[in-house]
Order: sequence, then C-alpha cells, then structure tokens
Amino acid sequence: MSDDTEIFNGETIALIRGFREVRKAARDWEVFSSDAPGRVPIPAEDDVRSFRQYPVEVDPPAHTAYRDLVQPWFRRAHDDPDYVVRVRALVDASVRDLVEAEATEVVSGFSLPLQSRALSVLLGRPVEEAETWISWGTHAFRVAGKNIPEKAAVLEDYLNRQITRARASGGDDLFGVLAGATVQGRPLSDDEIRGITHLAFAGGRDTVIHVLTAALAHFAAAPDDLERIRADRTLALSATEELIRAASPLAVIGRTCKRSVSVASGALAPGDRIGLCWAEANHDPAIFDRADEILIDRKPNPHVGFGSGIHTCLGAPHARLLVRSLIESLADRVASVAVLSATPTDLDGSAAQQSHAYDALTISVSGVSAPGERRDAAR
Amino acid sequence: MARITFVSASGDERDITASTGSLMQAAVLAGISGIRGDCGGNAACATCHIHVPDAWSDRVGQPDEAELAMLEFEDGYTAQSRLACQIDISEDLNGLRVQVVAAD
Repeated sequence: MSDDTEIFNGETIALIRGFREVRKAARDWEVFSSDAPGRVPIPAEDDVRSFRQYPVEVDPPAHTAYRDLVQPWFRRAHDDPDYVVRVRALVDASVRDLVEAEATEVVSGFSLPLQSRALSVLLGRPVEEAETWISWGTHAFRVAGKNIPEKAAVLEDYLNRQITRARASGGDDLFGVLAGATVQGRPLSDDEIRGITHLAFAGGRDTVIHVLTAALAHFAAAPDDLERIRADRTLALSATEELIRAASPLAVIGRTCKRSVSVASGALAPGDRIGLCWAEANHDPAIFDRADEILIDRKPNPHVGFGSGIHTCLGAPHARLLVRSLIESLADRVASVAVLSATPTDLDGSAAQQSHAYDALTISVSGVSAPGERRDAAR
Repeated sequence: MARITFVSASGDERDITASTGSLMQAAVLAGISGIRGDCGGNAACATCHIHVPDAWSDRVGQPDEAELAMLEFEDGYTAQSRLACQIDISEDLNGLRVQVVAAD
C-alpha cells in the first residue's frame, strides 16, 4: 500500500489529496465518473442498497436534469425566511436544553436530535416524525465503519412507505412534491424518488452531527472565540465556514475511472475506483495558512467541505444555516462550554479521514440568562 | 456612493447604487440574477462569480491566492474572474460594469 492508497472495508482505493488536484478531478466527470450506484460513497454502499442515489450518482446530461429538479427545494434554507426562523427556533430550544442540563452527551443527546428535527424542516415533514429518525442512531445504516444491512432495510422500508403515501395522497413535503414531479418529460419513478430521498437522509446525517459536535468542542477549547462572536456577530458567518472546513464532515468521496488515467499511486484502468479527499484538500498548507488551526475569522476560505464541481452538496444551504444558527444561539445563550469527557472516533490511522469526529462528547455549559448576567447551569 | 451595472448571463442589465459593504451584498440586496452569496461572503461557494473588464482591474484589484484557488476550477473562469464578495464598494467603483457568470 503506497501513501496514495488506503484500504476501506477491504477495498484498496487510490487517493487524490491536494486541494488543486482534488478540485481538478472533481470537475472532470468525463474521466472521474459518478455513474456507479452505491460506489460514490467510501466505503461503498452497494452491499446495502441496490438503487442509485440521485443526483449524486449520475453524470451529465441526466445529472443536470435531476439537479435542476431538486435544487430549488434544497435552496429554501437560503431563500425562505420562514425556513430560517423555524430552524433557528429548533436550535434555540436545543441550546436552552443544554444550558438547563447539568451535563449532556452531545453526539446522541444534542447533535443527533437537532439534526433530525432540522431535517423535518428540510423535508417538510412534521417535527414529531424526527423521533423515528432519531431512533435510527447517528448513521442511517453504518456502525463502527461497517454497513449493516438490517439498519439499511429500516431506512429503505421507511422511504418505501413514504413514497406509497405520497403516491396515494400527495402532500407538500418532499415526497409529495417528487410524486408529482417530472424529469425529462416523464414522471419520476419510485426508484428515483427513493434515490433522491435516501440521499437526503443518509448524506446529511452523520456529516451534520459531526459538524455540530465539532462546533461545541471548539468553543470549549477556545472560549475566547465565543466572546469574539458575541462582540462581532458578523464572525458567525466566517466561523461557520471555518468549522465546516476544519471538520470536513465528508472526508472522502469516490469516483470511477471511465478510461485509463495516471495518478500519484500509479496507473488506473477503466472501472477502478478513486477517492477525492475533501478533508485533506481542506488542510492543504499551500492553500490554507495555519491549516490545522481553527481561525474563526479566516476569509477568504475557499474550502471544499461541501465538495466541489457539479456534485457540490445539495444540502449545503441547510447545513450552513444549521451551523450558523448554532453559533449564533450559543453566542446568545452560552457563556462557556466545558468538556467533561471525550471519545474521539477511531480513524484507524486513515489519513483520508483526518477530520476529528467524536463517538461521544460530554459537556456542561454555563448559560447567559440576560445580557451581562451569567448563570452556572451545573447547579 | 457608486453606481454599478450588472449584466446577467442572459444579457439583461441592472444598475444598483451602494456606498458600503461588498459587491456581493449589494447585488443580493438588489436581487441580481446569478448572484446568491450562499457562504455569506467568505469565498467558500463561488455563487457570486463575476467578470471584471480589464480596464477596471487596477481599481477593483486582483484576487489573492485563496480567492484564486476558489475561482480557478469554476465554470466560466477567465483572467477577468472575481468573487463579488471579495470586492468592497467604494466611490472608485462608480461606473463599473460587471458580467455575472451564473445563469440563476
């Protein structure tokens, strides 16, 4: 195994790591294709699903049609003021709970429920439905890096029931909208609706949980940064981007070579897989000064935390809103964050997954109950 | 106060006037088509990609290395490319006319 390959669930995959190299490859879909159901994620998911995720596992020109269909829905987090208010209210409620509790294990007790409740806004489903999604755990179908078919079946069964419901009675949620939608002049198939919504559930789950948790860990490690944001709220915007860069929640994504190509690890043949390492690109010292530090005023910050090119994360507006809302809510309500215990995720030495996730992180927070007045929540 | 003209990808022209903030902020406020500012002005999304005529490059300035790193792999990248979020509005920009790269 060279420095430019890694083994993921038994599959040796060549890796592209530098910022410019990653972005160049991400543009070149004619060579580095996404047309491979279940094999865009790393590790692959073709052992737990037989259907394609849309639009992320499609190349142009079909990709463009799917992307144009769903992009307006996913942009509501940026475009719809009511959406913004609803997400902020969910974040505020979660942060209030943090302040009230003596201690909270935040991966499963804060980030997971908040991610799921915010997902209800993205999908247009009742927030009560989030309790079901929370019960699935931090990853939709993976435990300790391994795909679990039984967990994957739970998600697929849920999606199938929602599609059946939407076919019968429509609705203004994402399932209902897709049930009435057309692509390339014909109605979407059940497989296509399943593929679009599966991406919304699986792609925006552990990634968002990871960033929310990383944000709390950062403000525990750098309490001055919370003070700085309190004093200058415009820093919430740059802090959002910087925390996403530093966390790089999707560390690596796969492509399949359409023709022979030479990369750092050697020659690749048509059909070979290759990984684009967003996490390493985001820590490339040629692009980012003090790349391993979190600088909340870093600007410009040309990170690839949401990927790059035609497959840039559809959920980026939602994730940005959620992280920014958390930062603003913490600035409003929290004086300080203290880590009581931490269990970092075992990355098994993987350089391609250099981002710093937690399996568990227990914190306590001191609240600010009114401007200038602090309240110790650990009472 | 500066008057700036945005030419959309479809060729429509819109004039805006502004005195502070970034060119992206002024464009978003005015609802300029093709300027979104998804990342809030941090050069992290390239949804405010514009072309600045060569004749204005001295007054507008050149992208720094980090801005260039975001721009150079974007559709429509040329030597005239800039991110509107990295350009501060001043009276020096009065009369500037920029081309918006994205269609929506």
